[in-house]
Amino acid sequence: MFLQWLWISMMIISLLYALVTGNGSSMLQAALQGSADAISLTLQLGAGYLFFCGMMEIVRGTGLQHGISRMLQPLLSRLMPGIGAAAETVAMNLSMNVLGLGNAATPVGMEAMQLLDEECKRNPSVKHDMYMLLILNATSLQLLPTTVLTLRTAAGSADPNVILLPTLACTALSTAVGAGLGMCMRKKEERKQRWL
Amino acid sequence: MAVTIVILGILSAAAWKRLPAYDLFINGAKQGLHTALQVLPNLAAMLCAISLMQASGLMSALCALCAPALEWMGLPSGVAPLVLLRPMSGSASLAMLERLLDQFGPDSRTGLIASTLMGSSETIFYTVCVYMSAVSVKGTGYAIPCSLVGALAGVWLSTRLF
Repeated sequence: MFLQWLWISMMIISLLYALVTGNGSSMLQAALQGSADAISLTLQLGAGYLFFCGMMEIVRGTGLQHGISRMLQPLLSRLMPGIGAAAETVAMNLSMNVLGLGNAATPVGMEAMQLLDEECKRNPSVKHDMYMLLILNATSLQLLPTTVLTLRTAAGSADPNVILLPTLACTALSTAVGAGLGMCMRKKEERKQRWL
Repeated sequence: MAVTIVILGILSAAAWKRLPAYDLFINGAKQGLHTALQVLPNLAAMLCAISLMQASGLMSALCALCAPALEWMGLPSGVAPLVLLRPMSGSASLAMLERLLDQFGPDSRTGLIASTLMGSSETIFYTVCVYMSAVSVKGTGYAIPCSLVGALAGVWLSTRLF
């Protein structure tokens, strides 16, 4: 619901603001620019999806994912107790995020969401695990901000790498706070449900 | 470099196990294509809204409105628009970072905080929007608010570190 509400209010308020400030004539062009951006972004992302989804299928063949999901098991069972069959896919998604393979993590994450979605039809409380997966991806833990380092070098920084540790601290804190809050919300909603 | 080694490792493992790697790749890539097509309409909706916000001037008005609160947190005034743009648009916030590095210098306090912010956070709305395009459940519950508060905690920490 939040997405619905967010989208329509972004659209309406922008259009009203444009009319009030006399910017109204450029709005159609801006909207079309947005969907043109979506097409070029999809081409860019799609190239990554094709390659990484292909590689992922090979990884599945080798059975590497079992080891990774066993390593993350203690953490996952606490954060997302209801994941069931999606555990391996979720583990792959999270480890790809940490390695900075954002583009590769997305299709895997979507597959994990689909698996959770199936599960959710049988057991509605799995929706909390879906929210947790969203939070973990949206506050993504990332080890190496390569793009930012490139930009800093290009801008002539004396020491581009000085931001590495602070960045790690910030990304860890944001993920911890997001996930912690998510767990609190889950407890709160489950308590409410028990009373009803 | 790391990616090259990982990919080499995966392919070697596949060769070692005598897997039909080519067929597996084709099957996976088919799914990838499907994913890309599924994402496109969702991205179009989101990017249209963001494009409208920018073109109408609403984005800069919102930045001006929120700037005092962010500066109160200890954020240099140049960085405030970046904090607001970051969850909405990856390309716009990257362009903003480039401008800040140019204007203030990469080793200034503004430059350091801006770099840290950019590197430590995600395009929250885009991520949620893409992931939700895969499922039939429509609500995102508390996921977006929790992510935003988490990101804000990261912003706060970056102002304390520099």
